Amino acid sequence: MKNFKLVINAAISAVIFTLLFTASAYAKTSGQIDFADLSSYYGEPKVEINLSSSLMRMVGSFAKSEDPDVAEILSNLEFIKVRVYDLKGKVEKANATIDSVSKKLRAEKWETLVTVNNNEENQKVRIFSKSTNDVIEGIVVMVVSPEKEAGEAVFINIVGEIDPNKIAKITETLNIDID
Amino acid sequence: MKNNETEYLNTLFAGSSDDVDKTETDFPLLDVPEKLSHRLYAITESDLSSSPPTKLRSPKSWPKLTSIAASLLIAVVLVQGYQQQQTLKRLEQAQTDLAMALHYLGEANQIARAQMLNSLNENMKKAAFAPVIEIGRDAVIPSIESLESATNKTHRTL
Repeated sequence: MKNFKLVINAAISAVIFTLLFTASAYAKTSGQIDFADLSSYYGEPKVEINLSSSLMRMVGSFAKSEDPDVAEILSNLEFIKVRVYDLKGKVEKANATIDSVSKKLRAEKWETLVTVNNNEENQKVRIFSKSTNDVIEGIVVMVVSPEKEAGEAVFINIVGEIDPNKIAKITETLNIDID
Repeated sequence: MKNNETEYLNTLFAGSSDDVDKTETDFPLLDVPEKLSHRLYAITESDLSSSPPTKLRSPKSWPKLTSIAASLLIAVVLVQGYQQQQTLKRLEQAQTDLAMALHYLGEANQIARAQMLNSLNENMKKAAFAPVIEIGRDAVIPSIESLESATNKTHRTL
């Protein structure tokens, strides 16, 4: 009888663990996308950021005393990925990557928010979002701008519940100068 | 005397090793030498008198224990301090990373907004000027046509 109880308990905990694991894995992958690795072409990225939900919650908890709203916004974010490459005057590869990623996102039912093709200035901007029930679950931003130095390509992926109007508020609260 | 003791022990062990199945009644009964029995009793008495916990209980061991405990406490405090520092460093790094990510997001937003405004302005300009040009063209073309017809007419008269 004791053994039977132990087996039942073990089975229940195994089921709970599996459910939790799959739920978290699903949540992590729902709005997360893989940008093509351009390091073989442009060298190591100038900026490489990977922020997990635990880190953002930690930042949020410290900002809670200053601004509880920001803490709440950050607690809803799950993942932020940023890659910035120096284009060294060669925009073609970055533009091709933007096109291929855009194609993939459209196939995965991402919504196109912004498309800018400035052929004169060789500038390209794409902003995609994925939402369920009017809640944005993920944002992808891709920019190629030849204006900065010898050109710059920016790839951003934000996963989690995002209110674009509140993003500026976080930047204000963090109050960190970036040159 | 010593020979007696060794003899006794030899016969005792020789007897037991020669025949293992021997019963207790078969053992040779020998008188234990007095000195040996004294020694054997002395061992048990010393065992009883020296109990191990007394060493721990003695007040002499307290300074040692306190120093060990103090050094352990210091080690724990140091490790905690180090961990806190690491957490703070990670937090600062995360804050900077987050700010940078949002900065690039803001930049992308600005570029997109500027481009959208540009294209809107251009389209508005086109929309505003096109009818004027069209009106101008409509006004000019008939007059040219009338001129042409007039010259044609003059040619005809000629």
